[in-house]
Amino acid sequence: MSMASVNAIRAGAVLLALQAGAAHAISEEEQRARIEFETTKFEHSIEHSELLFRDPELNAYLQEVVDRLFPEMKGKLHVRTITDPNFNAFAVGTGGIYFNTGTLLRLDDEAQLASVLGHEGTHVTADHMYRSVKSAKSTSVVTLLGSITAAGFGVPPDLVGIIGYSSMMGFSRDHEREADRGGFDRMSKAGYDLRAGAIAFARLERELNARFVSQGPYFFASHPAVRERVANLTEFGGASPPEGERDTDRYLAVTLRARMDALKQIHRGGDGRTLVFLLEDEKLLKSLPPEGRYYLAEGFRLRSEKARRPGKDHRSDKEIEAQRVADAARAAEEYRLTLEQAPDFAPTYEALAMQYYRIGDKGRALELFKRYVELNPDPKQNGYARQYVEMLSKEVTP
Amino acid sequence: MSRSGIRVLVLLAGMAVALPAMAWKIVMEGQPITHKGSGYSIQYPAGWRYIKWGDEAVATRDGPALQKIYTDFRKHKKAFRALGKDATPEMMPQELAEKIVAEMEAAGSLQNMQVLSNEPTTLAGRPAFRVHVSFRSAVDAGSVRYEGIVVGANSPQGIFLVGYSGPVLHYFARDVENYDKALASFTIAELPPKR
Repeated sequence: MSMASVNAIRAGAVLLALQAGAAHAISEEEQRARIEFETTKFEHSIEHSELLFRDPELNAYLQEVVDRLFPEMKGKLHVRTITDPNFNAFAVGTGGIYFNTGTLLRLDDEAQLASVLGHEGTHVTADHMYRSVKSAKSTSVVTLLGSITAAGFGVPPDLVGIIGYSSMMGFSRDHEREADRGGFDRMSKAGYDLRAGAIAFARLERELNARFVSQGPYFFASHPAVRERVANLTEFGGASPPEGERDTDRYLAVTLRARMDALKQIHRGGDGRTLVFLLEDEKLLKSLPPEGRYYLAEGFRLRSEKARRPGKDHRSDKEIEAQRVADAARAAEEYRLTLEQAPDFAPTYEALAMQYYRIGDKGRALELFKRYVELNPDPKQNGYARQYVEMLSKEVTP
Repeated sequence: MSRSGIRVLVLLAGMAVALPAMAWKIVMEGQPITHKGSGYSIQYPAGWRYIKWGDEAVATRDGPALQKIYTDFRKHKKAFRALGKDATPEMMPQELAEKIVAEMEAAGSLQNMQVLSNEPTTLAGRPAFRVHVSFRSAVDAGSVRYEGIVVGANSPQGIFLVGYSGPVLHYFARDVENYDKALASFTIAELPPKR
């Protein structure tokens, strides 16, 4: 669905909401009960779904950071991680804050994490869910509006139902600015480095540009454009001293499993542009195990195979071809480095074998497929490689 | 109604008019369906109805929406139309499988597609892939869960695909065996080189 269609539907839904609100006005108590009922039902279903990334150590850590930011809300705010490689987080009125594994992948340290948690937590403490529903007059139509918006933004179907009652629907500019300000104040009181939020969102902005994603209401649906968030956080943190806490080591250690999971998901989705954008950042690459470099090599390979983005890429054919050739060469170099740094990591051998096969060096391809099978003896995973070994053994004379 | 909704209705109306006009024939035992252009031959389950058009042939017992076995031959040029990509004679089964999956994902008519398995096999004695997926369909607004299997192999002249799909409820599992028998009957004749 195009952005224009989404906006048209949203506009229609707002009108419907206003009309419905006039006809079916309900009391505050009733509205709050309705929001709580729907949200509790959602939280229960998500707790038992495949969407949750189950890592008790990570959950405990995220909870610890939230409790540090909101000490008076201890026991009322709870954090969960969702298996999703995109940058997103949202809060619901019953105190749940949901954080994507992809968000953890894109943050450098605990201070940046605190900037997102502080923002989402403020949506809850400032009662933004109820205030937004109240201003739209009808809860059911707000849910509908949110669901439509969410579907347009590619939100997983399991989450669509809750959108109207969560921060994922997006709030007014004032509410968002209030959440930015509230989160910032919480970070300040907790002693975090106050420049962290602006750094994290500036990187997100660069990523959106690299992936040809427009600046429109992409992030958290109707959050202010990313650029506006960068401006807010830069303005708040502009005069801050740099001595605040960042706690990089602990953040990177506790979130490692979730970050690797997000990386593998991006890889499975064949998104070379994002892999390259993220892993060309040496800081992120160094925070991963040595085999992390394999995903950078794969990123270059995938990007070289999908050099042009139809309709969005206005480079000349010559420029695109030059990038394709450069990417293929860089992929080969990164595979070589991965072999050096992680010589027992099987997937590199399979990827290289395919490369050699493509350029017609079947002898080298056979050798590498054999090595892959040795390192990865699981028959469920090495089936294709065994097939290639059998096929190439007939073609290659010793 | 949205523009895409109108498109689906127009498509369905078009199919309703066109399908009866196309000639569905009964599959006879020992009379495989052959395709001269590529040299493939397949024996569909006897008693099913089949239809051929272009490089494709589809067979069904109760109707294509409930179960169908289809055979397709694609030349390398523009083999993956939905992706705007060509195939090459050198592509290996694993690469073909990745492209077929990407093509299914790119097709707007399939929703919530998941790859249940992706493993090597053979088709007419050639190295091949076997991909098993589950999905929902935009045509019935996602109300029915389907599963599908595609087996594909490369050759110097093009790609051969033999697929099967049907609703999970009642239909899919019932005819997997018939599909596997059809797969086992699949052959590719050596074509004389083009002059």
